[in-house]
Amino acid sequence: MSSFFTRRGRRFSGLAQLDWVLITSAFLLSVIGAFLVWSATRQSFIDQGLNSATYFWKQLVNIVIGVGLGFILSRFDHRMLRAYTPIIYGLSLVGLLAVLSPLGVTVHGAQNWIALGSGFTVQPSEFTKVALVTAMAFLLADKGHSGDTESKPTDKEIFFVLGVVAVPVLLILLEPDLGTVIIIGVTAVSVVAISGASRKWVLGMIAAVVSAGALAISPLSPLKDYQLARITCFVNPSAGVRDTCFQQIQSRIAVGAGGITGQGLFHGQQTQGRFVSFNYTDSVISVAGEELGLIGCLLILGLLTAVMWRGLVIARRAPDLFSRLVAVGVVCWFAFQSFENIGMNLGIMPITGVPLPFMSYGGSSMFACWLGIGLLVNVHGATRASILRA
Amino acid sequence: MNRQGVTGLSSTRLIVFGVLVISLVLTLAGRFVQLQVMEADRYSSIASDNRTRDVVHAAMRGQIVDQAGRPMVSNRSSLVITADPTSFRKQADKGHAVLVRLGKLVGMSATDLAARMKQCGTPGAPRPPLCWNGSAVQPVPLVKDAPQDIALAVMERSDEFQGVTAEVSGVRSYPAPFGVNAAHVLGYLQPVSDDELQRQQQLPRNERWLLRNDLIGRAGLESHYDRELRGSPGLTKLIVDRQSRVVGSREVTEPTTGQTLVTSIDSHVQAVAEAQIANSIKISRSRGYRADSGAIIVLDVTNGNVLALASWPTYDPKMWVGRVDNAAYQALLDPKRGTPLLFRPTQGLLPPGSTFKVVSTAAALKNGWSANTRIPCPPTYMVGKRKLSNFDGEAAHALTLPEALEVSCNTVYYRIGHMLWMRDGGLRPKSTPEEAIYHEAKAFHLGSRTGIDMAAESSGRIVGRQERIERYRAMKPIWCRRAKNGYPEYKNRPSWAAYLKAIAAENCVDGDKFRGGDAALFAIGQGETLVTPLQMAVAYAAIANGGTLWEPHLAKAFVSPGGKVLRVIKPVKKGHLDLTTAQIDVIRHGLRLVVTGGTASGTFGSYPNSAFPVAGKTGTAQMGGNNLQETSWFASFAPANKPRYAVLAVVSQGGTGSSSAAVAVRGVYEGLAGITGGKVDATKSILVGGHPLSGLPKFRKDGTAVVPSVKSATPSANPSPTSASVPLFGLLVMALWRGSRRWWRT
Repeated sequence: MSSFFTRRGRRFSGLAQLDWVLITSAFLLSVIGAFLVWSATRQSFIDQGLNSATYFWKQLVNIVIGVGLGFILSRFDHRMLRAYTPIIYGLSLVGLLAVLSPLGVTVHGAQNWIALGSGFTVQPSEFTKVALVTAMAFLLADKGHSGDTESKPTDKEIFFVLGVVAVPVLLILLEPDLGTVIIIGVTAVSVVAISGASRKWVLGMIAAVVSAGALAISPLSPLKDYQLARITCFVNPSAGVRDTCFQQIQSRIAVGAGGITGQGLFHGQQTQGRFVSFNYTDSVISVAGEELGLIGCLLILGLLTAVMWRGLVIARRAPDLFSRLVAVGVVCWFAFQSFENIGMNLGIMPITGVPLPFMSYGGSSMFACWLGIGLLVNVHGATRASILRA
Repeated sequence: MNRQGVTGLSSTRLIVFGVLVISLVLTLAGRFVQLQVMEADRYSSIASDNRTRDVVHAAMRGQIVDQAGRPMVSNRSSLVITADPTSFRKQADKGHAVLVRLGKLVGMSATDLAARMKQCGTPGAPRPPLCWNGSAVQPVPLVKDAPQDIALAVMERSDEFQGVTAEVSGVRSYPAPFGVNAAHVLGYLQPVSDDELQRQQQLPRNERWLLRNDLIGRAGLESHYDRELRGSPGLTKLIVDRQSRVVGSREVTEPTTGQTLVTSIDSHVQAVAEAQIANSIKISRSRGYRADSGAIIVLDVTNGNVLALASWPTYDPKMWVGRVDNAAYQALLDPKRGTPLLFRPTQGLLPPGSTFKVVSTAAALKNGWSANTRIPCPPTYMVGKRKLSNFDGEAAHALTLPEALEVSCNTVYYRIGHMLWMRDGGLRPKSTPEEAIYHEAKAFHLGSRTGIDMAAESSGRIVGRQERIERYRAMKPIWCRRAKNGYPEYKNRPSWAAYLKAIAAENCVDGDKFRGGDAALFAIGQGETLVTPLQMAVAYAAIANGGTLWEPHLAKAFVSPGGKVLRVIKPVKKGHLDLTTAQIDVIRHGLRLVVTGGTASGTFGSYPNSAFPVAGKTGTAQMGGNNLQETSWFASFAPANKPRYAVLAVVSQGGTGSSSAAVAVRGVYEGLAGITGGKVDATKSILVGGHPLSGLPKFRKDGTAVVPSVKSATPSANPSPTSASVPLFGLLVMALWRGSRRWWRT
């Protein structure tokens, strides 16, 4: 009843039943990303005598599946969504445990994949973000139900929320996947803050995140050497050029070499010479930087901003706290993950292996991002519904 | 719509959150602008360096040919066994098994071979030149000048020698027509030094002509004309990927072979000169002299062209091809072997002895003595309390100047030197002393570099009053200390030490004084005067040609690899003697008498004096007194009536001028004039056509010269730069050649 297709029949004026800006921007990002992935991988496939567009087609399939998943999620009645939240949360914990079990696959020092046989792998930590966004919103908005936003969440509730967040975070830390932990941490702080928690909680959590960061690079750091080396590389890019920093430096060279107009799709020297490792996944922005130039990069930033901006508008107009917190959670996740990913490629953030939303190659990330869009559309729909009810 | 949604604190924080998100986006946008606009050029060039590798095709070095077009330095193909580090890295054992097999084949240990592949400066790498100073992607030469069977084995069993190939590289070859050596004249090549490469970085890009793996001329003509001989390398810019795999290429330029240098040297004359100086050394040694070194110079007096420059002892120029072994190099510097690396004609410094008397004669003729003035020639001449004696000649009666030259009467010249000195005021000189002999020596350009086109020429010294004063200022403390402390290092030779101490004591008091004895000794080419043999030869050439001092020159022209004459080097006049024809004739007359009836008449006894008359001067120079024997000189020109050649020979510690040096000079003239059995036969001259070529040899389209056939016994080799060696390996080598002259520049 509240899903957008059913509402199409109603005589609601204007075209904005759906947030077309949001959906179009996310879709354009996904398609541009698929072309960048194509450019980044075509030489390898040509060398192997395979179709140069192999990953392009696979990524298009990922997009289709992702859009489908988002569509399904957007159709849920958002009250139903609340009901499913504990189940989604539980499933994500199972997934994370599976990663640490013998089912898990280790890639580049981190065990964050599950092999599902026949070369198909999933990365549960991606879906954990979706689960945690709904779970936090569910717990923080639980007591008030719709409209009742003036009461602040109690300390007990916040403790409980933190506990719910801490379990998957600890599991992800064991993998270890530092980047995802940071994104979840920042998202948690934002969601709690916007839930109306008292100032001491907001400041306290910010202080906790900052001191966790400080601890990470201190001599007492619990981080593994390679993780620390990546952070060192960000602080001092010339250290250990051959190994850890190579990727970051090559990526930055590619971006810089693109100049204003870029060298043209499929014509980037760094990209086509495969000087940038992982330039179809974590460093896909380097392909944009080199081949599409500043113009292309600003376009991508603009599309990302459009997604986040629409998400914020949706959050602002949300009919209830749950909806708002879900929307805020998704926006924060997209925003910080994009910043972290692009920032590390530009040499202003530490290297943590997080994908660029919508653009990096890979199904798990693509599905999770479109699920995020699905959540936003869902909230948008709830807003429409509540207006109509009013 | 807010009305219905959540409001208050949450909304305020939502706005703050929105601002934070926008600030993240702006941060990234700013960084993009910084990288892609402000620093774009820098990153572009890094990306470009990443992506391209310059593959250098070494240019073939130009030939050096003699005046008739005979190649004296050419190129031959040499097989080099190289190992490709990229291929080795891909092998499971990093190429170890291949190196073991290769080691067995060439008789080296795999460890040594592996060490040669390590880049200089990396951990565990041996010292240069054993380590590899090229780039990590470039094949490393492991065995140079490999025998053909080993090279073939490596090529045929390529499965056993993965990554190892035999390549052909061009190395210098020395066809040695007539068995000519000319090692010092030709010079040699050595790898470019890091200093030279670094210095080059200061130059504009189009002047950076040295590559990391280049050889560079280090001496002789190879050094002086390095840029012309070097040619320019070809360059292909290869596009590579991260694994340095080649994915494309662009900007191909072909290498240009270096220019052919046509020299004025005649290899036959040079060969004869080398044989003659070796012979004179033998003669001197048979007479009990040490004869540690010697030189012969043959000049064309009409233009300063150098026909021969022989230095003894010499060495085999081939020793510089490939890796030079240290023992052989040390031998070149060993004084016990006569320091073979030293090039006597331009680097040997010797007192000129009586050959200097032409200078004193010229000074005398300008200062009151005439051709007919008779000057007494007593056995001794007193300068103050010092008694100076005759060595060479002695005569009962007074002599004219030509006669004084003829018998080389020292006391005549003591007198001239002493009188000129007194005329200048003696020990209390006038404000502007004339110093006639000193200035005459300067006019002959003695004691200064001749300007020959060879590096590292010595200047020698002519010491006059001013030099004395300057040196006294610098040396006084040392002399005075020696005067006090003596020479304890010579304690096993007390008389020598006492002599040195006495001189030091004298110098400490008035070392700035140019004494009468100094002036007298200066007049006979003794004392402190030191000249190079080439300076003396140029001086005698000037007397021969009527007074023109030519700059001696080896290079005549540069010819393109296609046989086109690119540049002709014109003879350069350095100066003209300020002597009248009559005055020069007086000197020539005296020099002619030396050969017909004077000090050299014995040596030229059976020589056809009327058909090819020689004029010259012997010299028997004392060498400083430190237990050294006399230096034997003979400086000459011929034909005396119409001079064309100046020939000078000198044998250090070789005895009298007539007994050693003059014999060598006579031998050279016999060759030049074609003298056999006391008869002159121009057709038997060692010079094609009986005289030096007036123009340049003719060059074919392939860059080789047309060499006129020679009637004399030794056949002349006239190989073209490549074809000479091609029959050796046939087409295999030719095929390898094309693909092999590639070096990566880093």
